[in-house]
Amino acid sequence: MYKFPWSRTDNPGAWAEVTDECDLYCPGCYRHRLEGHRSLDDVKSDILRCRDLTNCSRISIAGGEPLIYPQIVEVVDFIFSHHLQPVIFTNGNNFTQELALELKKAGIHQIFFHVDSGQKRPGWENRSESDLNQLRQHYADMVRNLRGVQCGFNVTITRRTLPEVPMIVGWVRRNIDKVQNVSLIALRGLDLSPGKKYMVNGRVIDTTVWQSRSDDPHEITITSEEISEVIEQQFPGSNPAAYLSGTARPETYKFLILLFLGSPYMTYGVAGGKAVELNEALTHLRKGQYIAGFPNPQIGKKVFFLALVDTEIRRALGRFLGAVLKNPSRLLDRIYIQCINIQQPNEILEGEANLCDGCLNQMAYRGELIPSCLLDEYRLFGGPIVEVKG
Amino acid sequence: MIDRKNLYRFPWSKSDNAGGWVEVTDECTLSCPGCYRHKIEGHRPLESVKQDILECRRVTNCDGMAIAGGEPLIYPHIIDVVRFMANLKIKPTILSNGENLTPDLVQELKRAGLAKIHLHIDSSQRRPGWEEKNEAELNELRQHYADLLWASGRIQCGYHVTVFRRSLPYLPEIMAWCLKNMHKVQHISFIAFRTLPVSDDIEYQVEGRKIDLRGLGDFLPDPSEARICTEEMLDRIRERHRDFVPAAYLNGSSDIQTYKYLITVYVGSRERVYGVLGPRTIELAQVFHHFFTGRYLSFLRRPAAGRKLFALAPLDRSLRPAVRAYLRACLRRPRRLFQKIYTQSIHLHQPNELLQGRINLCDSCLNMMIHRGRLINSCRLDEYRVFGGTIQPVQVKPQSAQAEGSDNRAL
Repeated sequence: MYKFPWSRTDNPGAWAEVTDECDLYCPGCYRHRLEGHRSLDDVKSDILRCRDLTNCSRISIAGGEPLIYPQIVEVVDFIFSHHLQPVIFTNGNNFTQELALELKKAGIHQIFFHVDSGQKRPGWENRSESDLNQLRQHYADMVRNLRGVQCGFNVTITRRTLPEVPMIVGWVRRNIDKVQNVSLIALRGLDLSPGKKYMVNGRVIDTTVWQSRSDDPHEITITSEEISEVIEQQFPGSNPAAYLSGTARPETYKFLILLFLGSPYMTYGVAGGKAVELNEALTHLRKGQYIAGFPNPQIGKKVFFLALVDTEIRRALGRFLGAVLKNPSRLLDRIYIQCINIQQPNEILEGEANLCDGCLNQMAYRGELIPSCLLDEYRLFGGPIVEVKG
Repeated sequence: MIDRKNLYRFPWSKSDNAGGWVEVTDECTLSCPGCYRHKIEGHRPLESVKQDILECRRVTNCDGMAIAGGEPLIYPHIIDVVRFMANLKIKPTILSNGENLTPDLVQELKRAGLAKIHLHIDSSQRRPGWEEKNEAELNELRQHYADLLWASGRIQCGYHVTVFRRSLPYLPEIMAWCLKNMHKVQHISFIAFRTLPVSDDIEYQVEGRKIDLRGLGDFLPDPSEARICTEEMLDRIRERHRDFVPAAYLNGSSDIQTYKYLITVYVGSRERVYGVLGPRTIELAQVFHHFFTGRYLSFLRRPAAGRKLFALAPLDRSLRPAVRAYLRACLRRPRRLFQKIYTQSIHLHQPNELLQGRINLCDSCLNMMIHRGRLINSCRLDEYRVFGGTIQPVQVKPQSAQAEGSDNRAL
């Protein structure tokens, strides 16, 4: 596997939050309602600060729910006009055809929809992940109609939904022409089992104000490897190509990337670490910036040239040629690349905060660069939480 | 002022890094100011050192590893450690004060597969026979070791110099000596002196417990002594060496705008310096080495990089002046066409420090080591050994100021 070369000061991604208001309440959400909508000028200045500090090529617009932010189109336009790719993270509730067209006009690059069965979404209560593929299909079709805008999904994975991961991945693979990314994010929260105490800047904190917490450590310790194994069992050969390790425990995989290659009719295999390495290295040499994802998901058959250096693509090429021999019309199919991100977010492991080393989602907060998952530790307590040992 | 856009940020991380670190002993024959190692354990068992080497390689995927201490050359099994590392295809580098480096030991180390020695020599060491000498006078001692290693034929030579306010003005002179020895000296690190400041408004804690920093040794009365930054050293060197232009860096972990590690690489022959490598060449070296070997490059096994380096000039604007200087020099004296071309890397370090109330480490530190099965920053080893964990500074406010802090819900 290839370790992404991203660092805090040379990173393809950055993050900006426009509001902390939201119309859903999702388990695992670590954003508290404290400020409401932020001023447009503050958001713009954070975006520029992020760009200067991280050398990023894309900005994720998050919240809260960014689509209820009144100036969301201006924010997208501002990012795009600074030659950065705007990406929105939304729950989709307010995603209308009209707004979609406005966002497209403003230069939106990708929209990530957070859809999972833990959300108690009106009209979708008590549905399984498999049932929710219908809602995902709705959004994927809407984004497809925008032509040129990429579509992604975020799914929080709990112990209950872990066995349903193959159903989600199966649907995603069938929609390889419409869906470019799925992030499967293991649920995390503050472990408040008996005896656990936390502090910030040397002082013990009141954890009752923290909404994402759990009395059951088992529920908040799903690892990225566990999720990857579930996928591998259903889809053999689904080997991750690249990763980010943990800051406190470098042996953990905080971010595992699986890249499917195929057409809507058939998945031929995955890309391997060498293909990702070439993509990162050549992009950085050419543009001076790293890249998260692929500029054009319709990667085409030229990807098979990488079989010369990438063993996984060699296998995919073998399957493609086999399929063409059986049915020569497969030769006319378009070939896409699709990214499955398996994430094991911010967690406290053996008393230490284990963050993503090379985090893609850093944000500016009071002029400083912080991992976005720590924002509310700063807003509520004035700094990052650490566990009190002993 | 450095423009970060003209520098390459090394692609290293904790789990994919060019370097690793292992300590074989905490005993030493000198007592250097700024040293953060305490005599607690003495020589470590060879088996335990070997295990740490294997684990460090597994976790960091390193290309080279520093064998440090204490003074590694007084460790009885030093040859075994070097051989063990070389057999694992790790490039071993010894960090030594040189006191015990004899021609016989050099030959033994060479046979065991040692790639490089970094000798710590500076005027603060009160080295027997060299007391009261300034940095310029110490170039004589540096020359002695450079000649000794040059005679070995295969072991590369590097130097470490701890930089204090007093020695800062001498940096250009040390640099000039280095450049004169382009073929013999492959590396020099100028390391700004650091220590944790003691003041009434900062309390130090380890895992929530207040600690007494005196457990880590003595302190400087003048805090400004511990604030020399890489940019300051760079400016001082550039006063005399205008061509000294850094190509790559590592930033700080808490203050990412700091340069913890600033690297300049000279290119030249034994007769003259032609120029420096630019960020593109460093990037290409890292990227190609990783693509073909699976590891980032710690240093070139053979310092005579050769004229092929100049072929990168079309891709690296900063290298072009060096190529022009080389071609002009060859036109004047064509025999220069047959001279070997060497590289020499100059590192400016601003190590572990307290900055704006937070510990500022090297982000993607090159010197990570295994301690009790875990990967830690080697500069923090004695925080673990003396206090059982990493030191955290806590700003101590007067009671009234604490009550005003509305956004801090501490109990």
